[in-house]
Amino acid sequence: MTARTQGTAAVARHAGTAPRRSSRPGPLRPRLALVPPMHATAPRAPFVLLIGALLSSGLGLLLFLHTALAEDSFRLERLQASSALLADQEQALEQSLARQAAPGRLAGRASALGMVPSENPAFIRLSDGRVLGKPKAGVAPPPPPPPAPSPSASASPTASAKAAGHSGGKPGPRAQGQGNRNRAGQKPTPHVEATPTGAAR
Amino acid sequence: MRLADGRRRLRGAVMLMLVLLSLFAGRLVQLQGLDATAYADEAEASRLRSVTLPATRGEITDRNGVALATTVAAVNVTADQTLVTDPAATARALSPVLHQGVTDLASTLTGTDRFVYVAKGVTPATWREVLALDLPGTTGLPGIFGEQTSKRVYPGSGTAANVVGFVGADGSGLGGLELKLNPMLAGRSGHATFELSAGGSRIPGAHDQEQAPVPGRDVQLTIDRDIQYVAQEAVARKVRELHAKSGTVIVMDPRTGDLLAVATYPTFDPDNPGSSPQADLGDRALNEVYEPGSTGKIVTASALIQRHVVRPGTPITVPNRLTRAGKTFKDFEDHPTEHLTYTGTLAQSSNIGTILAAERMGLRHLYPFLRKFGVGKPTGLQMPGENDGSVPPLASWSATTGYTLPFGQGYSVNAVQMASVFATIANDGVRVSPRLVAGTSAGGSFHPTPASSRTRVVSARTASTVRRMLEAVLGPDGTAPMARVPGYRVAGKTGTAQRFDATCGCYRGYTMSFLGMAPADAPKLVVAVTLQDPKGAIGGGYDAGPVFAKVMSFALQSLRIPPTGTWSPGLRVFAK
Repeated sequence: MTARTQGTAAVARHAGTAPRRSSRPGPLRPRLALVPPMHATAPRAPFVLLIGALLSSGLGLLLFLHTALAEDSFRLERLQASSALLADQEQALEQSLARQAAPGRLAGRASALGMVPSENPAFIRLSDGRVLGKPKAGVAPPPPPPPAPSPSASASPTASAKAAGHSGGKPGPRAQGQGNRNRAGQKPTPHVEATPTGAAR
Repeated sequence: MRLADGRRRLRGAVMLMLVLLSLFAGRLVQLQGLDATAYADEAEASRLRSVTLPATRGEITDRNGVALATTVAAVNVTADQTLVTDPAATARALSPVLHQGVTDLASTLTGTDRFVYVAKGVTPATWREVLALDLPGTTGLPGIFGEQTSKRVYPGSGTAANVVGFVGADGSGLGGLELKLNPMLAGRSGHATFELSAGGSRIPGAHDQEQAPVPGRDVQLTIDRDIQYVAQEAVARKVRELHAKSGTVIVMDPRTGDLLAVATYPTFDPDNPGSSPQADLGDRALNEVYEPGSTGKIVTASALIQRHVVRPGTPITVPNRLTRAGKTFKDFEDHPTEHLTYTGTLAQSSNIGTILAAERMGLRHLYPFLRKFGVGKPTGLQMPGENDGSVPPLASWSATTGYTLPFGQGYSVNAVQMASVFATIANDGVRVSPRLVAGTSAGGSFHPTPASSRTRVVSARTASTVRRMLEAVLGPDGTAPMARVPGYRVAGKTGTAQRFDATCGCYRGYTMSFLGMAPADAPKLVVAVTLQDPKGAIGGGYDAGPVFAKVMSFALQSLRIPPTGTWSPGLRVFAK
């Protein structure tokens, strides 16, 4: 800008000196004047608008980023809370499952349904189809099971009746019969002595 | 004049400023240069927080990975009594959630203590319910706080409690494997140090140090939870029925030494060990010793067969009384002079017959066999409070010792040792030391426990002969038909031992036992049942036999062990 103004001034001065060389004094002496800068009034509005737009869009972007970050952190918090809740629920369910699957509970529920442990395991050998062991129907306990929860109460009597029906005609297990015979023939009075002299069996 | 005045004033001001500035500079040097580190440290310390990061305690599982002991998250509900505005209303609100009486709660909440426990170890779900509670007019319960903690739980509710043990209030093991393996289970806690802003949030990027905790290793046992449960139930029922002092059932795989069940009764509730007497908190199967009685005749039989002194059919004439070293020995029942085979002396459990047979070998020769079978030696399990029992060394034998040892009196064993004696015969004469821990794991990699040590005690031929003789015990002329498992060949031995009572220093009451193996021709399982001091008991076969049959039958089915499909040789019991 300054260079251009100087340049213009130089041109003007040069233009001004030319008549002086003709040495013609008089009122015709040209007036010295600055050449008006050519673009002194270049439109400022677009520039201001540009800067303003840049600034405001930057600000907006920043605001947006902050909002997004804040929103994410809220979401994170929510998700963490729900993850903790789910983890707690999982743990509670796992514990409840473990309680339900505990052998004592299963055994109790099975016997409430009239089931009895099988005392006569038997296997079929696939290679020759032979039955190993002595399969026998289970013997239901004589009285209805004492712990009878309401949902299974209806199933329990039928099941025990059925089981009892199967083994109704048969005598008790062989081992038991013989055990009783032997037991009857034995003297149940043990001898006590100060040194072990052979009351052991 | 005016100018000079102004200049002086200016100079004065400059001087003043210089003095002030040098004071500041001096203070600055003092703060930043001389005391800097002290102040910086103080400042940082006021922001620094150090917390311990607790390590998760390892799980204890059965051989199939079913948890026997595990750790869950829990919350301790605490109160600052000075902040509780309305103890009565707070107690009323808390009562249904914490399942505590209103008056108890109210008295807990009243006072001037800044910290009291209201409820320990509640579930996180319960804590959420507490958080959701409101007092009329306020949100939340003022003065009620939660403390994150963890809690050891035993999902099997007492299954294998004697083996697994229990932990104390601080979560470290106090009994059983929880105690023995505590360093491994506990892991190593870590710690974190970080800076907190005034608002209490963590300052990111500032001083931040964290040493992660090393979680404890998970321990897998050789115990099978279901077999353990059945054994525990069976022994508990029998002990109660006979009003016995105690009882144990051991299930063992003779080929690996794995203990599949070690059940005792009475036992304790691991979730609440304080409610049981001290005597029940251990493992009776390892901590209590007794004289085995007739089950010890298996050692005598092994020695006699191994040394070719007798054969199963060797005839032995058994009188009603036998006097040795000034003592008169007798059998459990009076009988006329009997003509038994050696198998018969086992089947009918004749003490006199056993002494007569052992005399043929020389009584002293029994001692090394007892030792080789592991009697009086540590089991190798190294459980807390283990009692190794004892055999009197040869030098300290009294005149009668040599006569009582053959029928299992005069020395002491624990139940696991005795099971191991039978397992040796079951495993063709090779003794495999018993094992309780199958392996440990951390981060998914499993480290199995090295296989147990194996020692040959008698030849496979001897073991098989002894097993065939022991089948006669369950035969028609034996002492234990009640121990039969339908469909299977079972070999076993009854024991009705006179029980040494330390309180009177005399023999009082009996130890009833039945130890056996199945299938007899290729044993896969050994079950040992022992009942201490049952009242009105008849004999090992009648009292312990049915428990044996029940547990053995279940274990065989559970492990899918089929009968071998062969027949018992039916060795002769009576000599012609």
